[in-house]
Amino acid sequence: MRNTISVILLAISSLILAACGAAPTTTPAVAPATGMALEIRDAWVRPASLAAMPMEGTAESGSGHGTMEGTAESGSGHGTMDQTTEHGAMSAGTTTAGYMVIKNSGSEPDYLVAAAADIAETIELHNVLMENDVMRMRPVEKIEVPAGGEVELRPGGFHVMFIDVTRDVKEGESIPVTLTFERAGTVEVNAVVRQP
Amino acid sequence: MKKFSFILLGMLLLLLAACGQSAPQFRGTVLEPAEPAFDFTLIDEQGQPFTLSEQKGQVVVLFFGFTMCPDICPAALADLSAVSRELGADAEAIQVALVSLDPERDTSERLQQYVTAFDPRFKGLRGDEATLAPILKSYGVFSEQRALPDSAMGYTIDHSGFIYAIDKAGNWRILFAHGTPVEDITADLRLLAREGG
Repeated sequence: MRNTISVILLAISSLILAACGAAPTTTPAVAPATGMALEIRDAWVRPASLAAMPMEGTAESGSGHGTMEGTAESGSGHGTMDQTTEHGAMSAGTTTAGYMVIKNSGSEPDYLVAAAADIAETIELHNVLMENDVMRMRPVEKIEVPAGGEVELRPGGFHVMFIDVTRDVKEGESIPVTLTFERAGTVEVNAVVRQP
Repeated sequence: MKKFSFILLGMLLLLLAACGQSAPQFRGTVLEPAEPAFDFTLIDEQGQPFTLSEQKGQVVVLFFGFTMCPDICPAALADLSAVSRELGADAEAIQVALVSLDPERDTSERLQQYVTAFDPRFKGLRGDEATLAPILKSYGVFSEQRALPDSAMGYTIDHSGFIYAIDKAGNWRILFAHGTPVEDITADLRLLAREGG
């Protein structure tokens, strides 16, 4: 008898918990003003390093002086920093990518149209199309969040692309990202820096 | 032309998959009979020449990608880094190398910065297009530069995402499709690492 009751209780509490929905690990963000609820969870960014010269690898080749020679030989002679600070029409900087799940409980579709953060000079929305094991990365103008549904930004699919990263993005830190949606306006999220 | 060789590779894979019974202990696609891997010399992330045939005694794991690759390349390299950790002492017998498909942007410094972020033992190899072309053809790597006028990236490289394992004797033995589970790659590389060389 007691067993039956506790099973029922357990079932009820599971239902209640399930009703709470999203993973409790991230802060849900609710879009202001419009009354349309977008909920964003599991936002994360890959770590990125701007280290001009990783020092671990230089032990074998001798002193730091040796490293500098290696740099001069292989390039313009201006040193490594050029690689990350020179900006022409075409980027050659460090990149990283961000991912999340966006849920739309409203009755109209919404569209992610932009993302902003202070870790990169340019931030774009990209998609990866995979056909016959060939990966094709393409910029997209917007990412649809279907009405009453969700879209997952994930490795090998839609992602926020950070181009010309301006500082080290270290595992464990939290990056504030401002997302702009066509209908819901701007939504702030904190993306955790981690490996997949 | 590149597409053609890619299709050929696909057909080859299908054929190989059909006769999979012969080497049940491996989880990746086994190439049989194993033939000597196409030899090449590229420049490593330290600016030193790296010749494949001089790596005998080591298992060489190749991945073809580029450092501005947003998504697939970091995923593959992070997987290989996880494989190395799983392998423990057996990882000593394995050399992972990223071969750049974007020699225009991927300098040795850039490659060093990129690959060592995943694992300090990883190598980053580069060579000019004339050097790369026969390598890509031989391994059936699809690679195509594609202009992206609306992106700050300027261009991207569409490419295939296979991981290639070359055994201690210098034979190309196993091919892993993109997304092969870390545990499967680990199991196969452990077998190769423990072979005599």
